[in-house]
Amino acid sequence: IKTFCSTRMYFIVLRHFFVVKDIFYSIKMHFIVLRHICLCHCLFALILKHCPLSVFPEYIVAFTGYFSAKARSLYISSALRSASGGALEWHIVPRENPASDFPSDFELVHIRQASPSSLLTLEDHPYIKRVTPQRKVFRSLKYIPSAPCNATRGTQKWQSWQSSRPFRRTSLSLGSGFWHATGRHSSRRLLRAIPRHVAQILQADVLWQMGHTGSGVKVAVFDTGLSEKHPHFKNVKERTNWTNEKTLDDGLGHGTFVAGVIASMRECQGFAPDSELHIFRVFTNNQVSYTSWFLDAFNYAILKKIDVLNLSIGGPDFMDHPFVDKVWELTANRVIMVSAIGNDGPLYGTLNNPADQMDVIGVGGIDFEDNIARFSSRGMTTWELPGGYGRVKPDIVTYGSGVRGSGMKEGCRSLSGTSVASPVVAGAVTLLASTVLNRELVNPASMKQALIASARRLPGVNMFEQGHGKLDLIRAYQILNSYRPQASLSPSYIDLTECPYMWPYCSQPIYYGGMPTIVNVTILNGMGVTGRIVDKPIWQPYLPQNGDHIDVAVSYSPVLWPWAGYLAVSISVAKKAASWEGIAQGHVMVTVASPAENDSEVGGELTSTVKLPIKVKIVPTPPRSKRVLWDQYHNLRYPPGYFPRDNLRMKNDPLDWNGDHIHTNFRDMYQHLRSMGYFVEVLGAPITCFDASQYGTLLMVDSEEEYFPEEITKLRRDVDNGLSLIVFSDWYNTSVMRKVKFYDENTRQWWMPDTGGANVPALNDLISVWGMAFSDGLYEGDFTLADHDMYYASGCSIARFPEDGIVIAKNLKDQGLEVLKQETAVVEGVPILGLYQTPSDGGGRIALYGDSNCIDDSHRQKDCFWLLDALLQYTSYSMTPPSLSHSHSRVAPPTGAERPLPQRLEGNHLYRYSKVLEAHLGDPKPRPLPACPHLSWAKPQPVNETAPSNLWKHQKLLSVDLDKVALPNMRAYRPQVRPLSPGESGAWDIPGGIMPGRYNQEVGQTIPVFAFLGAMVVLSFFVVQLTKAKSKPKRRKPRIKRPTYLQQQQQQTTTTTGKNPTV
Amino acid sequence: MMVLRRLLRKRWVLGVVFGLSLIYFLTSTLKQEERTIRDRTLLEVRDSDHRIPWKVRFNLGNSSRQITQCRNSIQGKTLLTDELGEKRNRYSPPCCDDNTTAPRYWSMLMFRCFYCLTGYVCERKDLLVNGCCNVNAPSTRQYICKSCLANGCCSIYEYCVSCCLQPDKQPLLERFLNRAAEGFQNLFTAVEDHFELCLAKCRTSSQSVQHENTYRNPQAKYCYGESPPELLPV
Repeated sequence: IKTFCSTRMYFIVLRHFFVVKDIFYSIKMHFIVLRHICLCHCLFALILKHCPLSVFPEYIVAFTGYFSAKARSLYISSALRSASGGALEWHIVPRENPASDFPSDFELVHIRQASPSSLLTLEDHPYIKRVTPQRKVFRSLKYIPSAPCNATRGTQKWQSWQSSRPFRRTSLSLGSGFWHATGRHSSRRLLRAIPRHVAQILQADVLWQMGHTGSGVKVAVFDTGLSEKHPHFKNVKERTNWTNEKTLDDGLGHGTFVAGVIASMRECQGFAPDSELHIFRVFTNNQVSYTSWFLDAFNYAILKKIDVLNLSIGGPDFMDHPFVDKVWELTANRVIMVSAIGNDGPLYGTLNNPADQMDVIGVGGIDFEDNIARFSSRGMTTWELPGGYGRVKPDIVTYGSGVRGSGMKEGCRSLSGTSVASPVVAGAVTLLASTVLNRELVNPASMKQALIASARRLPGVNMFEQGHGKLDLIRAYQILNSYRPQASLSPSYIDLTECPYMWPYCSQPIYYGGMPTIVNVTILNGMGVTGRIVDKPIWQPYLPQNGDHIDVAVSYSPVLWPWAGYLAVSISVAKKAASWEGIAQGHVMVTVASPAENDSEVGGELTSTVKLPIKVKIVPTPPRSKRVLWDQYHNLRYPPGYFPRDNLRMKNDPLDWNGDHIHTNFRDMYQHLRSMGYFVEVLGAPITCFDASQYGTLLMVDSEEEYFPEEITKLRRDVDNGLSLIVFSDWYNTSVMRKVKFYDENTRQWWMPDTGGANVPALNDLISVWGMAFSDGLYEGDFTLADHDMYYASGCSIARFPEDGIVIAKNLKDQGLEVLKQETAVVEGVPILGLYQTPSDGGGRIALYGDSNCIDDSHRQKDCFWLLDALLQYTSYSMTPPSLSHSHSRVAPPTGAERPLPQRLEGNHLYRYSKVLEAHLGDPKPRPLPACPHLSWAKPQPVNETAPSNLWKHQKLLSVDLDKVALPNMRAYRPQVRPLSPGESGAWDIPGGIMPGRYNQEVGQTIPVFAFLGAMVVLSFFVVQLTKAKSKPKRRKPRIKRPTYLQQQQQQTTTTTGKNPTV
Repeated sequence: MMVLRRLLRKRWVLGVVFGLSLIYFLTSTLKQEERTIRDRTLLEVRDSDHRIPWKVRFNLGNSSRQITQCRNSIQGKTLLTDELGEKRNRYSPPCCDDNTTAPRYWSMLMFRCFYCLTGYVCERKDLLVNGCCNVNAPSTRQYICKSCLANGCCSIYEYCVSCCLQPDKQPLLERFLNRAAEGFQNLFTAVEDHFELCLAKCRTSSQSVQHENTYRNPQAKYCYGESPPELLPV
């Protein structure tokens, strides 16, 4: 259990990391290959501080009983007439809600210049209990720090979600209109208590009222199982077990909860109580699960023709090909797959598979205040690195924090995590699917299209956190029911100027000569499981809007299968705009075709044409010194190889799996460099593939890849010609690497790291020409450098440095000794930082630092962005920071004579994952240098068009104009979501009292059968009695019997305390 | 009080009470039975002598089945395999009249025509409205075992299904169902006919992987045969 405690935010998060095991000492790693469940029961003990503020001058007048509106008005006017001689200016604030038709025990009164005496006279009235000022309650986590609560009169603490005492009171302002508030007032909520029944919050009751309850839709829950007689479920069609445990029951409560959110019919209501539940137990009580179990279970789901499948389970291994292929196969068989995006936030680059697949609906979590939940995984997908750019994920977000669902045996409980958000969407999808008359139209793509086109965007959150926004069930219903098969794009437009939604694109304008900006758009094809792009996408620049100032290249999936494909748009500035500044616009037009399956004509095709508007900001090319190039090509990560974490203290997160990109786990560093005015570009190709004369500094951080010999010679030439180099290395010690190897029971093989934190031997090959090298030392510790507190988290030292360089040394702990022998030793004067000016005329500068952890977002303890600034000042402007050059920690550069330089670990399998090495007899050898990527720019077809001012409002789906789609009659259902009056309880549990739909019918079907049966039994009983009576008429003579009866009665009346005679 | 006591003594009241209890008893037992039928686990049924009640019918040998609608392997990127039933006399080659085909049905089928599965593989564009392949399209092929190895593993799923639908594969499949399918009872007890069996059998499964996250043989991973794909050396 890991506890984050953020006092500023006033909440405590308990995250149960199931897979967290001490890997370096007794290693048992479940989640390397196996999917680990996202089930993080992040139980939020949410302790909120409330800041009640008076809303002057409104008062709540409470009465002693319930009176009609007229009577209340009469009492108040009579009471106030006596006060101040009737001079008081007042009126009753109308409360327009369904409750206003009923008697109430309070009234809201607006009184101008109310004096305490007038309030007292008001309280004197016999029917008035008390008068209190009206208060507004603020209840948003992010709002609190800016408005200190102690300024107000009192603070209240509520422990909500886990509280044994549920608080059900809701503000009167709560109604269906509230749900359209997103985007307008995100920091203020008039909610005192939040209804926690997520189906109701998402207005599922509107669809229930229309008779849609998920009937006829098969939902599969892949989880920890479900107990047989759980009272919440009425339509569990089948339970199957795919694990090695001989049970079908849920021993964790996770599977029950998930199934409850989808289909519970009582207490904590699910979305689709009439859906057919298929429970697949694929996760054991010990939180173990294998890919092979999933494969067999998925095959069964395909055979059973499941419609919707919820998978609240995920893992980082998107290179588990059998699993990924199987998920494709599943969606290709029309199974709508909904999956949790992961609980590894707020770090970027933490998306989990299979939620990060194009054909799967990946769901992120938000809290009830519409903030992205801290735990929700985010950042782009990292499949496409290093050459491409990640796709936008999650697709959609919904409530995932403090959601109520079914408890393991009975009752309800609250849970948090994206594994809660996923069944919310899965339940909504099930409900939506049951509303569609022509089920042929419902497929994984059309459902996803409807969800993302209807989602409501959250303000101030970028698309790599919220995707398309918050699930809106009702709008999705409208869209889905006017849906026509078509293709659509996600994101549906590219506006590189729109902040913060289009972060990181909006954070840096483009310019001539820069690396092309790539936007990885996903094409969703609702027309068929397979499709293709007809001809080629057409680039149409808008001439009035300088569209000719940009060049666009498009690459795309040759086949859109299953249901989706990519459309990568590379944008670059045309040469004529090299010194131009402004906005350029245009659009890319794509036509998608799919075989028409319902067409009588053989070979018929459905086609759909979509426009992708593009808007970019162009600036003149910045000077060379301002431009920094980030080397992505030489960063390797898990999956597929075992690349260990850069900070060895972080035993619970053993893998380096966040992509090491400036927009994933080096996001803070990127933001910092941008704020310092640097322009950061990414090199996704070998070092031979960039024009070094354009860049001031090449930044190589935590590189695991090897180098082509051509790269080494090219870099040396570039540095001679003025390119500077900054290297942030990391640890590499073969003994430690052997120590952190482990036998993985699940894959039945040894896992040996293929590099250390970085690939130091390869880096040494690169920098040896300047007489530099890193050592295989492994150091750790706190120190102070230039008045900054620093932490060295598992880094190496500099083993060799040119004589005329500046080298800084510090006293650090020998972590290698600690890992290997559990001994602690402090090493004095470990050289960690080196600055060097190459001797050639106009030559570049080189800066080395032995640890990358202080600029990496994952597990960073103390940042050293100041150091990066200082190094960039040095490399870009040749300004040696005096704090470093005149530091008393400066030592003579090491010559590297005393220790041999680190060698590559023998028998490492880096060649399996490397783009540079290939297997050979003996040692792996470098491959031939690949050709540099070449973009073929689309031939522009200029149009004399002007883009709409707001691209966001651009139609997301053809033929569906949301403004025109009639809303279902909300009025009629308002009483269903009416707020509760105090004392009324349990009404949230069964909305509207009765669930419409098949439940009643089903009961109605079974009851008559048994009633008939019972009636028959009773009837036969009577028949027997009657025949008995008829056959023996003489034994029961009425004449005799009657007096006996009377006698008995008399006896009874007289002997009241006596026992009755038994007949 | 009095009235109640008297009422309790009445036989018809007791009868009603008895009847209601009976109803309750019946409902609960029936419900439980229903539940136990529904719940299946692959481990519970693993008795050594227990014969699995296969539902599989290799031959839909009756003429009542009309070729109006074909099922096909929905998922394909470009190719599809259908189950087009072809109207044949039992003496006409090559479909269903060879000796390997379900001899136990012969008496019944003696003088009838019947339909048999043909397993055409066609391109998506050659698919007819009814889900069947257009047999007249030039690229449509029947019983094609292209890309399939001798061990019954193919590199393309649709060809695996088509190959598996060949009548001469039936003994192989029967043998598999009786012996090798122990670990797959969940799946194969739910399979209803030859076509479904081939669709399910050809999919990659727990048999296709080693070390969980890699295919035993990424080149030929779809197998209709009994044995898992041959392990390729890394």
